[in-house]
Amino acid sequence: MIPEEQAKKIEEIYNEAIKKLEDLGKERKIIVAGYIKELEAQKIDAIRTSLLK
Amino acid sequence: MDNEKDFLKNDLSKLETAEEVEKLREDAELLGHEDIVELANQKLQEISAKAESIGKTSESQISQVEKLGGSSENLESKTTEIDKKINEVKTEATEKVEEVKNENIEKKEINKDLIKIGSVFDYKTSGGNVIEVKVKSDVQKTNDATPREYVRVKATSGNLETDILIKDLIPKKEEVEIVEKSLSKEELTNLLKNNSLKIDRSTMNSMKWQQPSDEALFFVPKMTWNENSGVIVFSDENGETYASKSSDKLRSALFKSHDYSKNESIGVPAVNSPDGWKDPKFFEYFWKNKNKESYS
Repeated sequence: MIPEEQAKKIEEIYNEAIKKLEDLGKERKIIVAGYIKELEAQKIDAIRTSLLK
Repeated sequence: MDNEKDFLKNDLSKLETAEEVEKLREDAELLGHEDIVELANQKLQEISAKAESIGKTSESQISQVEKLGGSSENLESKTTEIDKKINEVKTEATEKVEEVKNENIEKKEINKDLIKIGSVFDYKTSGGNVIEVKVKSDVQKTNDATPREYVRVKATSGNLETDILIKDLIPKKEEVEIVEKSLSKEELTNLLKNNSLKIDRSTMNSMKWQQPSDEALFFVPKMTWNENSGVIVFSDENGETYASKSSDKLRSALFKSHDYSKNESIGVPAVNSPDGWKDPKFFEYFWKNKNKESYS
């Protein structure tokens, strides 16, 4: 493999890895946001319950 | 990069043989390889930084979770699976980049094992003179090269198995010249004297030679020589006696010379035998000068 081919191959590996990481990053953000929403819902339920008492 | 191209272009125009072109091609691969290593390391750093940034929950989000009654441990348990995938992507990319980066290095190392590093000579004599010198077999490096300066070599055919100073082995091109072209008496004398230690009479008187007798060296006839492991002793046309480190080139030149003849009765102490050298400066000479570029 000549250096030009090596450079091209490295670029391909890099681009593929960055794309995968960006997709996983979005997925992770959704998980964290989901957990926060879950906590907010629990908090609202707790407030509602206390108001109804 | 442009400078490297110019350098290679200039060099290429000076090459005449296929071997020289092949050598330049290998050098060019190594020159380009430095850029590849730099590119690979840069990309690996960027991938690592990216993986680290997306695998981290921001301080504000952690604070928000805690305010809502959640815990960072619970949050971590929810992101464990995705964080594992992030690490896998990073590891996989690192392995792939390293593999591409090292491809030419590995190739180069494998080739090194196949490179011929010297030759064993065969010669024919007639009337005390060498009439033919030819390469008997190639010598290739084996894996037990210790210490670095010496290599344990084994002839591809024949029985030679010994330690040889790498620098003393003759490059293929030069070897052909030696085999095909006789050195003049003056050239050979200069070759000998420039790389040898002159032994004066008083020093000779203080030296103890192990083999074959203490007397032998006193009578090194003019224009004769002999060799023991690592050492060549010879006498010039004026009867001055010299000791030199052995080398294939020097030995071959002496064999080819019609002026010098080998005399087996000359006692020569082995270089690795300090007991053979009553005067320690001779022993030190060979070892202190072992790094010296010889006979070039």
